[in-house]
Amino acid sequence: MRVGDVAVPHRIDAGEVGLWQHELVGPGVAATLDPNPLLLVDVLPDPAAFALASGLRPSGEGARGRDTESVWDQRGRIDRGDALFVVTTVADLSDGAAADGTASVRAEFRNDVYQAGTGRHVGSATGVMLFVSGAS
Amino acid sequence: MTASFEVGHAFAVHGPLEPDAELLRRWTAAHAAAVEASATAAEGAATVPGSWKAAMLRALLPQWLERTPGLASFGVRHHAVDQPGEPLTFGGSVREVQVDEAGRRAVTCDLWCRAAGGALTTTARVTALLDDPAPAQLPLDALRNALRVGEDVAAFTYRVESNDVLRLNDALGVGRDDDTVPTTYFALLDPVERRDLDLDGFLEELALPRTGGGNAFNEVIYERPLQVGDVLTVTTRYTDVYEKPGSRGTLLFRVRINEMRDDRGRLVATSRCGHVLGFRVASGQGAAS
Repeated sequence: MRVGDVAVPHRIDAGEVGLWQHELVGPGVAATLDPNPLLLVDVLPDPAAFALASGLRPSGEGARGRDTESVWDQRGRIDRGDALFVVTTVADLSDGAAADGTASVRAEFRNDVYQAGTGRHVGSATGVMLFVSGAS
Repeated sequence: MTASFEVGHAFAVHGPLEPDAELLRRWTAAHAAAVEASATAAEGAATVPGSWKAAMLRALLPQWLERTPGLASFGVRHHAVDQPGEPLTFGGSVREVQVDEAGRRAVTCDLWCRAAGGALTTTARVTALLDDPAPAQLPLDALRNALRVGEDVAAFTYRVESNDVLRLNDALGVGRDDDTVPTTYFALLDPVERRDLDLDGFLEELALPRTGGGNAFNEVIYERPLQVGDVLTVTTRYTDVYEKPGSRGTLLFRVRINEMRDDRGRLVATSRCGHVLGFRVASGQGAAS
């Protein structure tokens, strides 16, 4: 995995992701959520996990990642039912060391989200993960 | 909607919640389903996923802000790991309130998740736009001004490329090796469809539910067929903007003409294209939500 690597773009449905999220935060909270507009965090609640599932993973055997930071920067409106395309890239990689001296890699993934119909950029969701080789 | 958001205003603390391992397993599995892969699910729910804590903070925003927030930037940092079944509380306060040039308030909040001992395990900063009411009608005058209806608004020069012709013929079933330029190629010489020209992008930001959209019609009158190697300058002019009721809400049409001239200034073709967007306006909004 190198900086600039791009995963195969994914198409997602803003309606589907919103539904399961609202259910899982609990019925009391979900009852206060309006269907529209959606925030980008509703569509991509875990930017780093999305990148990993898209195939962008460090090459080290047994490397496990820990989610450390996420940033959603929304630029356009998203409504339930919108079809979106997500283009995921490796934005940054840097070597480091865990507290016990084990080598680690900090990986920053950027997901750019576009309306499928118009191609309009509606925002980016960035996730940072810390990978430690062989960590459990 | 009477909330006053003064700097320092603290939101009602939510919780404690004790998310159990089963709920968190469903959360991670739902992620995996959403991205059509199993990577996250395979990692299980040995700890409380940071994404679940972030989603809780996001889900509490309508309660705390007393309305559905609009466009937002949202940053989350995870400082420590939480274990399933341990009590977590969620809260926050107003950090800053700004009013933009359109009169909308942008409220910046500092949010947090605390573990049982009071330690902050996740913090977040969100800036949400409030007061963005849906307009009662489509902004036709603003759109006509933006599109400068009746004026030539842009000119772009394109070359008819052999590779594009071959791919188009292949897609049309004509044959991969045929480089005769099909009439359909005229449709490719449209600066709007090529995303070279975007004068009405603000329509995407209207606070109105969208009900659909796409090409309404395309027609072309040409003086001669295109040939590979033609260099054409395409000048675009919007000619009409109008709305009419449809089965999917109010339909907004924008009609444009593309005049295509070769490198000697001779007219090659004129195309006329209409694009439509559907909106749920005024009384129809209740049905949409």
